[in-house]
Amino acid sequence: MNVLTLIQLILSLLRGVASGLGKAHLDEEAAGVQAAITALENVHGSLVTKAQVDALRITPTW
Amino acid sequence: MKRRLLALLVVPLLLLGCNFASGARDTIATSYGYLTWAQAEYTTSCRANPSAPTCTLITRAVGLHNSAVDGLNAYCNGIPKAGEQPWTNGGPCAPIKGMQGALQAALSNLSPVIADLRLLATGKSQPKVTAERVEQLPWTIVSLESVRLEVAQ
Repeated sequence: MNVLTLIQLILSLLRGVASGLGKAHLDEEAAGVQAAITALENVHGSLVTKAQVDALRITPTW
Repeated sequence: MKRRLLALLVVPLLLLGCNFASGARDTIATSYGYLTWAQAEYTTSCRANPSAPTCTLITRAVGLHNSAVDGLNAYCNGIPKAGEQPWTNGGPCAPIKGMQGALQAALSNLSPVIADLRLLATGKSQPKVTAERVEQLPWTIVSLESVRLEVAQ
């Protein structure tokens, strides 16, 4: 089990506990961290390329 | 809270400490995931009130994030090894060692803003403590001062 898998396991447990307790802010926090981990997993271990780096640029939405 | 997110942003650099460009790319990807989530969460309210603290922070974070992207692009745009394509033509990162400090600075500037954003977002969704709420939850330890402030509002 690598570090990312372990963090994801902890997050899924946290979200389960948060929804059980009605702690919406914990669930929200977990969702943000989950999004960060998913984005990291998408690139982790691959070759760094310009196309990949440019795809990580963020366009302001307001 | 802030420390935990800083740790999350630093983890990619530690995981790939031997390859600076990969570590930087992973840190930027982590920031990307968190910021796109934050944008999705706050776009509606921030279009209505872009000067709200959370919105200002997201805007600032997006600017710093894109600066880190520019920094990585500049760092990798060195002279390619023999037989390799240049960075701008899809080749591998050809590091310019002299740019490493600038890229590191861009990443260091980004991390605390992301951490602040997370604190602000979390604080927004926390339930307000009221005197009635304290009475319902007698085991909750809340200072009288904070209860008085809530009642006054």
